[in-house]
Amino acid sequence: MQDEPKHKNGAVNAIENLGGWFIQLFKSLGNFLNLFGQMMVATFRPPFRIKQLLISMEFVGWGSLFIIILTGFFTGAILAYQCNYAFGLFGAQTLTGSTVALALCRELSPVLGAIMVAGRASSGMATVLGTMRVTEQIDAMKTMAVDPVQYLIVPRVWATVLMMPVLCAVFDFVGIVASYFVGIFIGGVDFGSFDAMIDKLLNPFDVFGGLIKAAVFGLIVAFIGCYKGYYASGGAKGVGEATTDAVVFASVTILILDYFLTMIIW
Amino acid sequence: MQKFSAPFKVGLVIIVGLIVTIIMIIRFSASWGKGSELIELHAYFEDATGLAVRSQVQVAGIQVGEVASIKLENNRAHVVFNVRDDVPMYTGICDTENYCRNGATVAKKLSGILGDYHLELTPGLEGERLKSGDKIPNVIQAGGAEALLNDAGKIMKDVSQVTEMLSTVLGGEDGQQKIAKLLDDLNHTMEGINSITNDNAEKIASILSNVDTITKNASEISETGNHELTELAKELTKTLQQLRETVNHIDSGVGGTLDSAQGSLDQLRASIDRLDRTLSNVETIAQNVNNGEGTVGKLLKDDSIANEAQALLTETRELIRSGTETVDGANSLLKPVSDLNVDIALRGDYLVNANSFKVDFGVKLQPSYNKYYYLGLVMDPHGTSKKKTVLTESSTSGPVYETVTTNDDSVKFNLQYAATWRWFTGRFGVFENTGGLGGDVEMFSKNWKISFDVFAFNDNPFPRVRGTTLLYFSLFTPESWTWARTFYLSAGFDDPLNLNVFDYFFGIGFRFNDNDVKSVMSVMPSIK
Repeated sequence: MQDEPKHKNGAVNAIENLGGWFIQLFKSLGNFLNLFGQMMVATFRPPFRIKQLLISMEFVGWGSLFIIILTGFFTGAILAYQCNYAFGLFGAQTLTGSTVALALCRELSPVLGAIMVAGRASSGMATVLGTMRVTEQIDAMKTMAVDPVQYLIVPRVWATVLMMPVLCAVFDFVGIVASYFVGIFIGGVDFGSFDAMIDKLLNPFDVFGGLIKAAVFGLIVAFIGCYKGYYASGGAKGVGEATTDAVVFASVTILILDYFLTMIIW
Repeated sequence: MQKFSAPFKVGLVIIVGLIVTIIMIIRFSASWGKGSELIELHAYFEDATGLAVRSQVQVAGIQVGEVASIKLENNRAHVVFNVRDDVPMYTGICDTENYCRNGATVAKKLSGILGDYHLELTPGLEGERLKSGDKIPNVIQAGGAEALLNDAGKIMKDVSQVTEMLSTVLGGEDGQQKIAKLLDDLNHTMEGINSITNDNAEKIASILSNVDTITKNASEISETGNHELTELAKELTKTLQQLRETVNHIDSGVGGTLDSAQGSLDQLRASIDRLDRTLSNVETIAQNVNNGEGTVGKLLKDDSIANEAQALLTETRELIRSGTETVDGANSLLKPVSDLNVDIALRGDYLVNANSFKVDFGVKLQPSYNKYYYLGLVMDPHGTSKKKTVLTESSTSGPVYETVTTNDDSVKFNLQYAATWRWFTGRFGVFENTGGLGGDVEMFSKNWKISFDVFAFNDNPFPRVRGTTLLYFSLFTPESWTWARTFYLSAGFDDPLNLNVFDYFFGIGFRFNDNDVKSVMSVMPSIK
């Protein structure tokens, strides 16, 4: 008889936990959408912080250029190598270039490029904003009548939106060049056929579609980084968690969003 | 290094991105409709399987348009496609509703084995020109794989009929009996043939052996006894000649004296006697040959000679084979050496700032076309004269310093390994007694060469960089001037990073290789 209230409490606790988790989820979602709304509003409200935008563009674009070139080259090369082997089984190696180009332009460049930027830039944004949050710099900004969303988040997000398509184009190009080298010099594919198949299978919209995707990914990646940093709490540990969460959340979101974007665009 | 500003870096990334995007868009843009208007044409197909929006439309295998839309209309596929205006197509002369003579046709064709289709147009010859919105007069409904499958279906039907017939004739119990009887008969026949050959096996073997011996003997006699027989035939011919002369003599001297007749008869007798002797000789020789006596007889009859000859031949063959192997072995051993090309070059350059000459002598050992080893000696005044301030004497007024110039004119060594890839050669190794790297670019059939060397990383604040260009005379002389191949001009700069020793130079050189030496040797008088 004595145990019954305890048992009751356990069940109540479990339900409470579930409810609490659900409320927390909705709170986070609310915060997320709220911040997104604030960011969109702040975008169109002066002052327009061009210098901040440029600094962020440099951080995202210039800073990620090398890693994008490296990833693009080896992605194209290895894809070409494997395609060459697989197509070689039925004598269709000439499809290597076009397959790699198509895969790169439509899927791999935007997705891998965005994941790379998430790993490099999104985590950086989360760390910077998180540190500012836990050291109360964001609050200080508010007291000085500077809108932190406008000053910190807007330039970072739009810089990533602008730079991601550029990085994606570079990824495409470098990857195709790598597939060319692997296909022609290692795979021994005839250049004419290699080239002709690219002509046949690809059209400019494949490139455009990929660039649109990259821009959307840029928006998501940067915003998640800023969101996680903006709402970080709990000192240095909290900043670390925010950074990790930003990368994981951004990467998973990219992969899920890619499915829907592909369905919409093509 | 100047630090670039943020706007510069961002601008640079954007420019790179724009350039590669433009390149890709231009590259992936369809080239079939450039510079010409498009017209929209319509066609109705019974089956549009495999066709898709943006499928190609071709004339003679060249793309002239693409499918714009495919819709279902009255249970038929209404295919709309755009075609270049500069490919004229005609309505033809319409005899019936479904066919227009000499009009444009359209057919669905298989593009590859993977089931992709395109539309193949034939523009037609007569009638009015098709305008935008017109219908293609003749639509060929089945083609490519479908037609092939239809044909295959017909063939399969025929095969099926044949097998059915066979089944009727040979199938069932009756057919089985027939086949069994056929096999039985065949078996009997084979048995008969077998027994005949078995019973007469010895006879057949003997016949074959006889035939073999006869042909062998005939062959041996005709080969070996040819000379003896020729001699005999000559003697026979001579005797018969004499006989003929005697008979003639008798004929002409019928009215002659008895003495002369007697004489003639004597001559005849003598001739006959000689003939008799000759024939008897022939018989004796033949008997001797048969008995294996005498040279010819031994040759023909004695097996040991043949065996010895056989053994001798085998040994000779072995000897030749082992000899060939030895020669082959020697060849393979010598091959790398014989493939080795040797180039020898000597060059003199005038160093303008140093006002002195540099001499470069080198031997290039090239075992294969894509690599070589370079060994060289250089007498280079560059950078060797160094100014030094030294204390010469100490006097009461203080130490006296003097600037002296020292010269290091020792011979320096080059030892480099080079690998060639198309027109580029990369080198590394010892450059004038220090480690270094170099690269050569060769153009105009190797008649113009640009080289860059980087070496001496420790001697001066900056490594020594040397750029040299070599221009062979043969680039601007007729091909027949073979001597021009040997000479070349050189020019270049040396050590531009270390301004105190920077120099530029020009000079002339000549080179020759082992082939040149061989050709010279071949025209020199041989030593007796």
